[in-house]
Amino acid sequence: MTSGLPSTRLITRLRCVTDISAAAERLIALLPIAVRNCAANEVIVAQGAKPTNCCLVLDGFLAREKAANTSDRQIISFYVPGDIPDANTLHLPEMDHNLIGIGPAVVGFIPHRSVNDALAQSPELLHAFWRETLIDSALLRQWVVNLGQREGVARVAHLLCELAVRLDAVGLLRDRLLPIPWTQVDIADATGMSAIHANRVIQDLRTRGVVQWESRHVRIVDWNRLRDIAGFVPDYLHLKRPGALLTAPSPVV
Amino acid sequence: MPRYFFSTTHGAKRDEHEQVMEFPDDRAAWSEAVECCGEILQDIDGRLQPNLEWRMDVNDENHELIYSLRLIPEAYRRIKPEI
Repeated sequence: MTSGLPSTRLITRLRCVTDISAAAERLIALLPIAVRNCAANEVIVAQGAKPTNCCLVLDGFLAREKAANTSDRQIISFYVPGDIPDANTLHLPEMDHNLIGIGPAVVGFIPHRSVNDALAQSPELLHAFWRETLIDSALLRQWVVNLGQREGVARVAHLLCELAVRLDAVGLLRDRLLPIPWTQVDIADATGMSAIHANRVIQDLRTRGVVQWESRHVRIVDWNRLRDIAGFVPDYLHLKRPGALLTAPSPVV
Repeated sequence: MPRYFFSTTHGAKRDEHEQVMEFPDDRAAWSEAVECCGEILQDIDGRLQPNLEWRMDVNDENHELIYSLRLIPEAYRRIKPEI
Protein backbone atom coordinates (compact mmCIF):
# COMPACT_ATOMS: atom_id res chain seq x y z
CA MET A 1 0.00 0.00 0.00
CA THR A 2 1.24 3.45 -0.82
CA SER A 3 -0.59 5.78 1.49
CA GLY A 4 0.27 4.80 5.06
CA LEU A 5 -2.62 4.14 7.41
CA PRO A 6 -5.57 2.16 6.04
CA SER A 7 -7.95 4.91 7.15
CA THR A 8 -6.16 7.30 4.76
CA ARG A 9 -7.81 5.49 1.87
CA LEU A 10 -11.28 6.26 3.21
CA ILE A 11 -10.39 9.85 4.05
CA THR A 12 -8.99 10.37 0.53
CA ARG A 13 -12.19 9.03 -1.00
CA LEU A 14 -14.49 11.13 1.22
CA ARG A 15 -12.47 14.26 0.37
CA CYS A 16 -13.35 13.69 -3.31
CA VAL A 17 -17.07 13.81 -2.68
CA THR A 18 -17.58 15.84 0.52
CA ASP A 19 -16.13 18.81 2.39
CA ILE A 20 -15.11 16.69 5.32
CA SER A 21 -13.70 18.45 8.42
CA ALA A 22 -10.52 17.63 10.30
CA ALA A 23 -12.66 16.50 13.26
CA ALA A 24 -14.49 13.93 11.13
CA GLU A 25 -11.20 12.77 9.64
CA ARG A 26 -9.85 12.19 13.16
CA LEU A 27 -12.84 9.97 13.92
CA ILE A 28 -12.11 7.92 10.80
CA ALA A 29 -8.45 7.63 11.77
CA LEU A 30 -9.55 6.11 15.11
CA LEU A 31 -11.59 3.33 13.48
CA PRO A 32 -10.16 -0.13 14.15
CA ILE A 33 -9.35 -1.65 10.75
CA ALA A 34 -8.25 -5.29 10.41
CA VAL A 35 -6.24 -5.61 7.20
CA ARG A 36 -6.37 -8.84 5.20
CA ASN A 37 -4.91 -9.96 1.90
CA CYS A 38 -7.56 -11.56 -0.32
CA ALA A 39 -6.81 -13.98 -3.13
CA ALA A 40 -7.84 -13.36 -6.72
CA ASN A 41 -11.51 -14.21 -7.31
CA GLU A 42 -12.06 -14.83 -3.61
CA VAL A 43 -15.62 -14.36 -2.44
CA ILE A 44 -14.96 -11.82 0.29
CA VAL A 45 -18.57 -11.48 1.44
CA ALA A 46 -20.99 -14.11 0.17
CA GLN A 47 -24.65 -13.74 -0.75
CA GLY A 48 -26.71 -14.76 2.28
CA ALA A 49 -23.99 -13.80 4.78
CA LYS A 50 -24.78 -11.50 7.69
CA PRO A 51 -21.48 -9.68 8.15
CA THR A 52 -20.58 -7.77 11.29
CA ASN A 53 -17.88 -5.76 9.51
CA CYS A 54 -17.75 -3.34 6.59
CA CYS A 55 -15.12 -3.81 3.90
CA LEU A 56 -12.88 -0.92 2.95
CA VAL A 57 -10.96 -1.49 -0.29
CA LEU A 58 -7.30 -0.68 0.43
CA ASP A 59 -5.58 -2.05 -2.64
CA GLY A 60 -6.81 -3.83 -5.75
CA PHE A 61 -10.34 -4.06 -7.05
CA LEU A 62 -13.54 -5.63 -5.82
CA ALA A 63 -16.77 -6.29 -7.67
CA ARG A 64 -20.34 -7.01 -6.81
CA GLU A 65 -21.69 -9.99 -8.66
CA LYS A 66 -25.03 -11.69 -8.75
CA ALA A 67 -25.86 -15.07 -10.25
CA ALA A 68 -28.40 -14.84 -13.06
CA ASN A 69 -28.95 -18.60 -13.14
CA THR A 70 -26.81 -21.62 -12.35
CA SER A 71 -24.09 -20.78 -14.86
CA ASP A 72 -24.30 -17.03 -15.63
CA ARG A 73 -23.36 -14.12 -13.47
CA GLN A 74 -23.65 -10.37 -13.83
CA ILE A 75 -20.99 -8.06 -12.44
CA ILE A 76 -23.02 -5.17 -11.09
CA SER A 77 -20.28 -2.74 -10.13
CA PHE A 78 -16.55 -2.38 -9.52
CA TYR A 79 -14.96 -0.88 -6.43
CA VAL A 80 -11.64 0.90 -6.17
CA PRO A 81 -9.46 1.75 -3.13
CA GLY A 82 -11.27 3.99 -0.66
CA ASP A 83 -14.69 2.53 -1.44
CA ILE A 84 -16.84 0.68 1.12
CA PRO A 85 -18.82 -1.63 -1.17
CA ASP A 86 -20.89 -3.25 1.56
CA ALA A 87 -21.91 -0.18 3.54
CA ASN A 88 -25.43 -1.45 2.87
CA THR A 89 -24.89 -4.15 5.52
CA LEU A 90 -24.94 -1.45 8.22
CA HIS A 91 -28.71 -1.34 7.69
CA LEU A 92 -29.55 -4.37 5.52
CA PRO A 93 -28.01 -7.25 7.48
CA GLU A 94 -28.15 -9.97 4.84
CA MET A 95 -26.01 -9.73 1.70
CA ASP A 96 -28.14 -10.13 -1.46
CA HIS A 97 -25.10 -10.49 -3.76
CA ASN A 98 -21.47 -11.59 -3.61
CA LEU A 99 -18.54 -9.27 -3.09
CA ILE A 100 -15.49 -10.68 -4.86
CA GLY A 101 -11.90 -9.72 -5.60
CA ILE A 102 -10.95 -8.99 -9.21
CA GLY A 103 -7.35 -10.11 -8.87
CA PRO A 104 -5.64 -10.09 -5.46
CA ALA A 105 -6.82 -7.33 -3.15
CA VAL A 106 -6.09 -5.87 0.27
CA VAL A 107 -9.23 -5.23 2.27
CA GLY A 108 -9.75 -3.53 5.62
CA PHE A 109 -12.53 -4.86 7.84
CA ILE A 110 -14.17 -2.32 10.15
CA PRO A 111 -16.64 -3.58 12.77
CA HIS A 112 -20.17 -2.29 12.22
CA ARG A 113 -20.27 -1.28 15.87
CA SER A 114 -17.26 1.01 15.44
CA VAL A 115 -18.66 2.57 12.26
CA ASN A 116 -22.04 3.13 13.92
CA ASP A 117 -20.38 4.68 17.01
CA ALA A 118 -18.43 7.10 14.79
CA LEU A 119 -21.55 7.97 12.80
CA ALA A 120 -23.50 8.58 16.03
CA GLN A 121 -20.80 10.98 17.21
CA SER A 122 -20.63 12.95 13.99
CA PRO A 123 -23.67 13.98 11.95
CA GLU A 124 -21.19 15.23 9.38
CA LEU A 125 -19.72 11.76 8.96
CA LEU A 126 -23.22 10.30 8.83
CA HIS A 127 -24.05 12.68 5.96
CA ALA A 128 -20.79 11.77 4.19
CA PHE A 129 -21.70 8.06 4.36
CA TRP A 130 -25.22 8.81 3.23
CA ARG A 131 -23.82 10.75 0.28
CA GLU A 132 -21.55 7.83 -0.57
CA THR A 133 -24.45 5.38 -0.66
CA LEU A 134 -26.47 7.79 -2.82
CA ILE A 135 -23.55 8.05 -5.24
CA ASP A 136 -23.39 4.25 -5.31
CA SER A 137 -27.03 4.15 -6.39
CA ALA A 138 -26.34 6.85 -9.02
CA LEU A 139 -23.64 4.57 -10.41
CA LEU A 140 -26.10 1.70 -10.59
CA ARG A 141 -28.57 3.90 -12.49
CA GLN A 142 -25.84 4.70 -14.97
CA TRP A 143 -25.02 1.00 -15.33
CA VAL A 144 -28.66 0.24 -16.14
CA VAL A 145 -28.51 2.80 -18.96
CA ASN A 146 -25.17 1.42 -20.10
CA LEU A 147 -26.41 -2.17 -20.23
CA GLY A 148 -29.78 -1.35 -21.70
CA GLN A 149 -29.07 1.33 -24.28
CA ARG A 150 -25.44 1.45 -25.39
CA GLU A 151 -23.98 -0.73 -28.08
CA GLY A 152 -21.08 -3.04 -27.26
CA VAL A 153 -18.14 -0.76 -27.95
CA ALA A 154 -19.73 2.17 -26.11
CA ARG A 155 -20.53 -0.08 -23.15
CA VAL A 156 -16.91 -1.13 -22.70
CA ALA A 157 -15.64 2.41 -23.38
CA HIS A 158 -18.03 3.75 -20.72
CA LEU A 159 -16.79 1.25 -18.17
CA LEU A 160 -13.19 2.30 -18.87
CA CYS A 161 -14.05 6.00 -18.60
CA GLU A 162 -15.83 5.50 -15.29
CA LEU A 163 -13.04 3.50 -13.69
CA ALA A 164 -10.36 5.89 -14.97
CA VAL A 165 -12.15 8.89 -13.45
CA ARG A 166 -12.79 7.10 -10.15
CA LEU A 167 -9.18 5.97 -9.85
CA ASP A 168 -7.93 9.41 -10.84
CA ALA A 169 -10.06 11.05 -8.14
CA VAL A 170 -8.32 9.02 -5.42
CA GLY A 171 -4.88 9.56 -6.95
CA LEU A 172 -4.42 6.04 -8.34
CA LEU A 173 -4.44 6.62 -12.09
CA ARG A 174 -0.83 6.84 -13.17
CA ASP A 175 0.11 7.39 -16.82
CA ARG A 176 -3.54 6.76 -17.72
CA LEU A 177 -3.05 3.10 -16.86
CA LEU A 178 -5.92 1.11 -15.39
CA PRO A 179 -4.09 -1.57 -13.39
CA ILE A 180 -7.13 -3.81 -13.20
CA PRO A 181 -6.24 -7.50 -13.48
CA TRP A 182 -9.55 -8.37 -15.10
CA THR A 183 -10.06 -11.02 -17.71
CA GLN A 184 -12.08 -10.54 -20.87
CA VAL A 185 -14.71 -12.75 -19.24
CA ASP A 186 -14.95 -10.22 -16.39
CA ILE A 187 -15.49 -7.45 -18.97
CA ALA A 188 -18.12 -9.59 -20.69
CA ASP A 189 -19.89 -10.25 -17.37
CA ALA A 190 -19.85 -6.54 -16.48
CA THR A 191 -21.18 -5.40 -19.84
CA GLY A 192 -23.73 -8.15 -20.46
CA MET A 193 -21.92 -9.52 -23.50
CA SER A 194 -20.71 -12.92 -24.62
CA ALA A 195 -16.95 -13.39 -24.22
CA ILE A 196 -16.41 -13.43 -27.98
CA HIS A 197 -18.27 -10.18 -28.43
CA ALA A 198 -16.34 -8.53 -25.57
CA ASN A 199 -13.15 -9.79 -27.19
CA ARG A 200 -14.15 -8.21 -30.53
CA VAL A 201 -15.01 -4.90 -28.88
CA ILE A 202 -11.68 -4.77 -27.07
CA GLN A 203 -9.87 -5.45 -30.35
CA ASP A 204 -11.93 -2.72 -32.00
CA LEU A 205 -10.90 -0.15 -29.35
CA ARG A 206 -7.31 -1.31 -29.72
CA THR A 207 -7.36 -1.06 -33.52
CA ARG A 208 -8.81 2.44 -33.38
CA GLY A 209 -5.79 3.43 -31.27
CA VAL A 210 -7.95 4.46 -28.32
CA VAL A 211 -6.49 2.04 -25.76
CA GLN A 212 -3.59 -0.33 -25.36
CA TRP A 213 -4.87 -3.54 -23.84
CA GLU A 214 -2.12 -5.85 -22.75
CA SER A 215 -1.82 -8.62 -20.18
CA ARG A 216 -4.96 -7.52 -18.36
CA HIS A 217 -3.89 -3.90 -18.05
CA VAL A 218 -5.46 -1.10 -20.04
CA ARG A 219 -3.73 2.13 -20.94
CA ILE A 220 -5.88 4.95 -22.26
CA VAL A 221 -4.14 6.38 -25.31
CA ASP A 222 -6.81 8.80 -26.51
CA TRP A 223 -8.98 9.96 -23.62
CA ASN A 224 -11.12 12.39 -25.62
CA ARG A 225 -11.94 9.78 -28.24
CA LEU A 226 -12.72 7.16 -25.59
CA ARG A 227 -15.06 9.65 -23.95
CA ASP A 228 -16.78 10.37 -27.26
CA ILE A 229 -17.24 6.68 -28.08
CA ALA A 230 -18.70 6.09 -24.62
CA GLY A 231 -20.87 9.20 -24.55
CA PHE A 232 -19.41 9.58 -21.07
CA VAL A 233 -20.72 12.41 -18.89
CA PRO A 234 -19.22 12.18 -15.38
CA ASP A 235 -22.01 14.10 -13.58
CA TYR A 236 -23.36 10.91 -11.96
CA LEU A 237 -20.09 10.39 -10.07
CA HIS A 238 -20.82 13.61 -8.13
CA LEU A 239 -17.14 14.38 -7.61
CA LYS A 240 -16.49 17.65 -5.83
CA ARG A 241 -12.78 17.29 -6.53
CA PRO A 242 -12.12 15.25 -9.67
CA GLY A 243 -8.59 14.34 -10.72
CA ALA A 244 -6.47 15.70 -13.55
CA LEU A 245 -8.17 13.60 -16.21
CA LEU A 246 -11.29 15.78 -16.00
CA THR A 247 -9.67 19.06 -15.04
CA ALA A 248 -6.38 19.25 -16.99
CA PRO A 249 -6.17 19.88 -20.73
CA SER A 250 -5.27 16.84 -22.82
CA PRO A 251 -1.56 16.39 -23.50
CA VAL A 252 -0.52 16.91 -27.09
CA VAL A 253 0.36 13.52 -28.54
CA MET B 1 -9.58 -27.18 -23.62
CA PRO B 2 -9.73 -27.01 -27.43
CA ARG B 3 -9.47 -23.63 -29.11
CA TYR B 4 -12.06 -22.27 -31.53
CA PHE B 5 -11.67 -19.49 -34.08
CA PHE B 6 -14.58 -17.11 -34.70
CA SER B 7 -14.70 -14.77 -37.66
CA THR B 8 -17.38 -12.62 -39.28
CA THR B 9 -17.88 -11.57 -42.89
CA HIS B 10 -20.24 -8.94 -44.25
CA GLY B 11 -20.46 -9.08 -48.03
CA ALA B 12 -16.88 -9.31 -49.26
CA LYS B 13 -15.51 -7.71 -46.09
CA ARG B 14 -14.07 -10.15 -43.63
CA ASP B 15 -13.48 -8.92 -40.10
CA GLU B 16 -9.72 -8.51 -39.79
CA HIS B 17 -9.62 -9.85 -36.25
CA GLU B 18 -10.34 -13.49 -35.72
CA GLN B 19 -11.41 -14.21 -32.14
CA VAL B 20 -9.79 -17.19 -30.47
CA MET B 21 -11.33 -18.78 -27.39
CA GLU B 22 -11.22 -22.06 -25.56
CA PHE B 23 -14.38 -24.07 -24.98
CA PRO B 24 -14.91 -27.51 -23.50
CA ASP B 25 -16.55 -28.85 -26.67
CA ASP B 26 -18.25 -28.02 -29.99
CA ARG B 27 -21.60 -27.59 -28.31
CA ALA B 28 -20.26 -24.85 -26.01
CA ALA B 29 -18.61 -23.12 -29.00
CA TRP B 30 -21.93 -23.26 -30.86
CA SER B 31 -23.81 -21.77 -27.95
CA GLU B 32 -21.28 -18.92 -27.71
CA ALA B 33 -21.46 -18.30 -31.47
CA VAL B 34 -25.26 -18.01 -31.43
CA GLU B 35 -25.21 -15.66 -28.44
CA CYS B 36 -22.48 -13.55 -29.99
CA CYS B 37 -24.26 -13.34 -33.39
CA GLY B 38 -27.36 -12.03 -31.66
CA GLU B 39 -25.38 -9.34 -29.86
CA ILE B 40 -23.43 -8.27 -32.93
CA LEU B 41 -26.60 -8.00 -35.01
CA GLN B 42 -28.15 -5.92 -32.25
CA ASP B 43 -25.20 -3.53 -32.48
CA ILE B 44 -25.08 -3.43 -36.28
CA ASP B 45 -28.74 -2.38 -36.64
CA GLY B 46 -28.94 0.18 -39.50
CA ARG B 47 -25.44 -0.55 -40.72
CA LEU B 48 -26.41 -4.00 -41.99
CA GLN B 49 -26.50 -3.70 -45.77
CA PRO B 50 -29.42 -5.26 -47.59
CA ASN B 51 -28.54 -7.92 -50.16
CA LEU B 52 -25.16 -8.56 -48.56
CA GLU B 53 -24.76 -11.75 -46.60
CA TRP B 54 -23.60 -11.48 -42.99
CA ARG B 55 -21.91 -14.59 -41.67
CA MET B 56 -20.08 -15.95 -38.67
CA ASP B 57 -17.75 -18.89 -39.19
CA VAL B 58 -16.41 -21.07 -36.43
CA ASN B 59 -13.28 -23.08 -37.13
CA ASP B 60 -11.62 -25.65 -34.92
CA GLU B 61 -7.92 -25.86 -34.03
CA ASN B 62 -7.17 -27.57 -37.35
CA HIS B 63 -8.82 -24.66 -39.17
CA GLU B 64 -11.62 -26.94 -40.22
CA LEU B 65 -14.93 -25.08 -40.59
CA ILE B 66 -17.40 -26.55 -38.12
CA TYR B 67 -20.20 -23.97 -38.03
CA SER B 68 -21.45 -21.20 -40.23
CA LEU B 69 -24.25 -18.90 -39.11
CA ARG B 70 -25.59 -16.90 -42.03
CA LEU B 71 -28.00 -14.02 -42.29
CA ILE B 72 -29.15 -13.16 -45.80
CA PRO B 73 -30.95 -9.80 -45.73
CA GLU B 74 -33.04 -9.19 -48.85
CA ALA B 75 -34.63 -5.88 -49.90
CA TYR B 76 -37.61 -6.00 -52.26
CA ARG B 77 -38.66 -2.38 -52.19
CA ARG B 78 -36.63 -1.28 -55.21
CA ILE B 79 -37.43 -4.29 -57.34
CA LYS B 80 -40.05 -3.34 -59.93
CA PRO B 81 -42.85 -5.80 -60.37
CA GLU B 82 -42.51 -7.67 -63.68
CA ILE B 83 -46.16 -7.38 -64.63
